[in-house]
Amino acid sequence: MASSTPNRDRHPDEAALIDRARRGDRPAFAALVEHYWDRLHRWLYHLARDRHAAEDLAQETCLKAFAGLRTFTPGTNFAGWLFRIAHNNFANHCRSLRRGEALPDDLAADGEGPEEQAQANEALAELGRALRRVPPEFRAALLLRAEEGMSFREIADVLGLTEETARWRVFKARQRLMNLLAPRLGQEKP
Amino acid sequence: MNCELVQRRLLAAESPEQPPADVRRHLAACPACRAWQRRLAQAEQQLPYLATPPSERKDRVVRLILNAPNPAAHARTGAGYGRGAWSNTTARERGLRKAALAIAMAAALVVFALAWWLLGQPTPAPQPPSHPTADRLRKEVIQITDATPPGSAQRVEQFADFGDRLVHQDVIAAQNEPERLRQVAAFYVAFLHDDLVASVRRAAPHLSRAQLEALAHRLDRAESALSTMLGDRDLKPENRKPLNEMAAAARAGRNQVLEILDRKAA
Repeated sequence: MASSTPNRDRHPDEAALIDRARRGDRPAFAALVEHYWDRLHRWLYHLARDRHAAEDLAQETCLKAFAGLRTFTPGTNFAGWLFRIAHNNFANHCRSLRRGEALPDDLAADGEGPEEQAQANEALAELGRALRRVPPEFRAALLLRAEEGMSFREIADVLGLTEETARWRVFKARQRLMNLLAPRLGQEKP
Repeated sequence: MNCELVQRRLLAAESPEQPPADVRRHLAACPACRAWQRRLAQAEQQLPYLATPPSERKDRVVRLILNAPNPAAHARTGAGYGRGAWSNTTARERGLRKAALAIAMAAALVVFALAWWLLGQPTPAPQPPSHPTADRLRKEVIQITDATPPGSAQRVEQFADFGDRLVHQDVIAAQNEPERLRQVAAFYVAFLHDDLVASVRRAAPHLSRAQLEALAHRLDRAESALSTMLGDRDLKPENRKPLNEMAAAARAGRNQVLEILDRKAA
């Protein structure tokens, strides 16, 4: 089980790496992949709830970014650009599963995976179970806010939404999460 | 300002732990809302600590990027992802970019399909030299990935057909060419794991039990065919190892498909 402390930092040499990578420097892009892979994989795993799909989608994201790096405008938000590609790939993945609506929260027929079962902290395990029950479109926005520290504007850019819709999705995700955690916490629902 | 309104404001805030002044005034006077705010902030702060399975693919993707053909030939200027902040173009340029985007995406798909197949190869360091047989087979896999949607039953079926052809035609044709047979065997082992079984996993949610059972049966037949070849008393000694490897791969592939089938039944 991997449990990482949040790392929302840019690579210290990100601008230079991007510049070199755009000119064909493969080790430069490989360094960017090294920096962002875990974050992408983590986000995609919590969206897809499938470790194999998460690996596939993270790989697809990095390779598409590699092939399309010249379309990125230097000086803008590289992490946002990368996560946008990841989200598009996830959306294609959902379509390929032939679901026209939001995915059921738990794709794993057998419920908790080994990661959740191994979670030493029961509170975290419960949080994980609650998060799985948040619809994926809300979950995606909330995780970008909580794990990547993105603003509503940045979340909107990643998910292809208006800022207001991004705010609303985070609102709904938090509301759902708090309602699911409420019975244990004994709190009132807003 | 009542508690329900305050809590809704906190839910909608970019940072619930740093609310605006009017909300702070209410929180200062309301222990219940303070406690609610604490729980909300704590839940959100804990999200990054949720367990995630370790990734096994990063190093391979990095190697692929370091060794892949330069994609610059496939990229086109002007195609962009998203809107607003990343695209500082005129309307005319945006129009040109839309036209170029289709080309760039198709090229990216080809690069991805090639990269995907390359990842399926055995990964010694350094890489083995290219061989015409392996190159030809790689191209066929790329054609299948280009022609079929990812995660589709169609891709699974075409991969299964391709695997059958390797066993029932290519292996037989290579019996008198040990190096060619070794290439076919190495390709088959990697293909089963990284293409066929991977595609089955991805397509599993909408494959029927009958389809999975049929696929397992095909892999069983492949193993049987290879075992029959191994029992041939005229078999060249140098062919034994590659055929054994192929039979083991077919057996492992069948078992993996049966595991996927069992999970569906559960």
